Amino acid sequence: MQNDLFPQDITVGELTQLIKTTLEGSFYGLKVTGEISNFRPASTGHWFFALKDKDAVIGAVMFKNALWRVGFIPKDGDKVTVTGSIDVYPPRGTYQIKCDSMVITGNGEILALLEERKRQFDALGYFAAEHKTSLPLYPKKVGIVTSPTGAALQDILQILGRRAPSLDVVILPAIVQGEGAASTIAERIAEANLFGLCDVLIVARGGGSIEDLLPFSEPCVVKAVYDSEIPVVSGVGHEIDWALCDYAADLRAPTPSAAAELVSKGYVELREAMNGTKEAMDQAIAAKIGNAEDALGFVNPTKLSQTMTRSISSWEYQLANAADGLDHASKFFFSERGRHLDQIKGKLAIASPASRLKAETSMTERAGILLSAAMRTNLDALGNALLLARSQLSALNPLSILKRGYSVTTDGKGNIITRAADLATGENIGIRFQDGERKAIVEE
Amino acid sequence: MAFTTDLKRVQEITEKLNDQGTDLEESIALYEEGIKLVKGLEKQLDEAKRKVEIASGSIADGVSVTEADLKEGRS
Repeated sequence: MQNDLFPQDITVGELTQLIKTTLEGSFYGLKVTGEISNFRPASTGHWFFALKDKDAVIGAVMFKNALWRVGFIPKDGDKVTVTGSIDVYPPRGTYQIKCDSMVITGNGEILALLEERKRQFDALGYFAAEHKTSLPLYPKKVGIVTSPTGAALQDILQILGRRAPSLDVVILPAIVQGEGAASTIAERIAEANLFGLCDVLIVARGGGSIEDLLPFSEPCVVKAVYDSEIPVVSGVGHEIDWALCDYAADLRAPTPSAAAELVSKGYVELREAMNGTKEAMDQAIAAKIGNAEDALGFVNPTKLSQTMTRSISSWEYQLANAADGLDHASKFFFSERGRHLDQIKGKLAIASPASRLKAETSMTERAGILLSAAMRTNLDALGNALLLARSQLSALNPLSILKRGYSVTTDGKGNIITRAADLATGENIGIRFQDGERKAIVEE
Repeated sequence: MAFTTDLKRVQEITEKLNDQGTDLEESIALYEEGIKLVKGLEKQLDEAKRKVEIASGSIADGVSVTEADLKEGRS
């Protein structure tokens, strides 16, 4: 069969060039959706991969200069939509899509699904503010529903350990993405409630794609969070991420770390309040001691010590006299007793004078102790009286009253007048101010 | 809650210490009481060693809680 377009033999190069011109001239401004497979970023910075669907596969390339527009690094299995044109590579005789942009697809559908689900739960009252309970201020044990190997758990443990080292932790390990994740999360929440494992629950996972976070938006998780008697704090993903369990939770934290901070808030505030109060208390006692020192300053220490020395020597003198008197008395007593003993010598062998002697000696000692105690009491009283007298003196000082604006009125003879009735009209009086006296006449 | 009762008492003590009418002897006794309470609170807040446990099992078979064998890493 003759083809009029190609009347003569053509080379492979010529044919490929024709194909290249034809394809590239016809397939441009394309928008293609497919699943990424065999993704291989090259050392040169370009991305090589294939796009496939259930029917076919096509090679694809994205050059380095176009990558800045893509906000993520794709991986095999991602469903994406690319724009670009067909490119033929003659050395290999292959054709591929040369991509200019790439976005994750499917998100639109997922987001629409989540919005619809959110609307339904909202209508059922799952997100109602009045259903929410407040977190215990000082929880004793916090339950964490998360992956036992995830970074989220490490972050939470670290923050709790730093902010509330006394707070016990029980980890409720769950699968946090993919198959079976939602049901384990829901079951862990239910378990914590059924067995009373903790008094506050954190439901958390680190950041991820919208699909990764999907389990936390599954109806069974939303219901478990809503049904939890134990207050739930959700900390799913990064700040920008959200999941439906955030809305059902009693408190939503932007990240797992923030959830740990919210749970330990009471302890941190308590510590701050305690430190503040302690400081105030220290200042108050320091001021009190300062005042007492100032008050002591009014007392002349030299004078006080002289008074005390005089008192002490007087008491010592009396004590010495008393001791001497006792001594004499006992000597006399014993000599009398001795004579008596001589008289009844032999008859009273069992009435030993030694025991009597002992008793009398201790009486002397006791008297001495009583005396010095009395002396101390007296000295204390003396000191107190001195302080009292000083303060009374300063209170009674009339000058201090005059300084406050009061004045003293006297009649012609210098008697102090305390009643208006004591003065007759026309009488000469004197008025004493703080700085001197003035004369006056009573008008009426 | 013992925490809040203790803290309230320390606050009361501080108020009394600030009151001119409280004499020195009483003040010192109050301060000693306050310091004792603060020490107790600090101890409860800081020194207590937490227990980290891990739950295993299921609702059907029962859940058991054991001491977690986790490297807590960064402290």
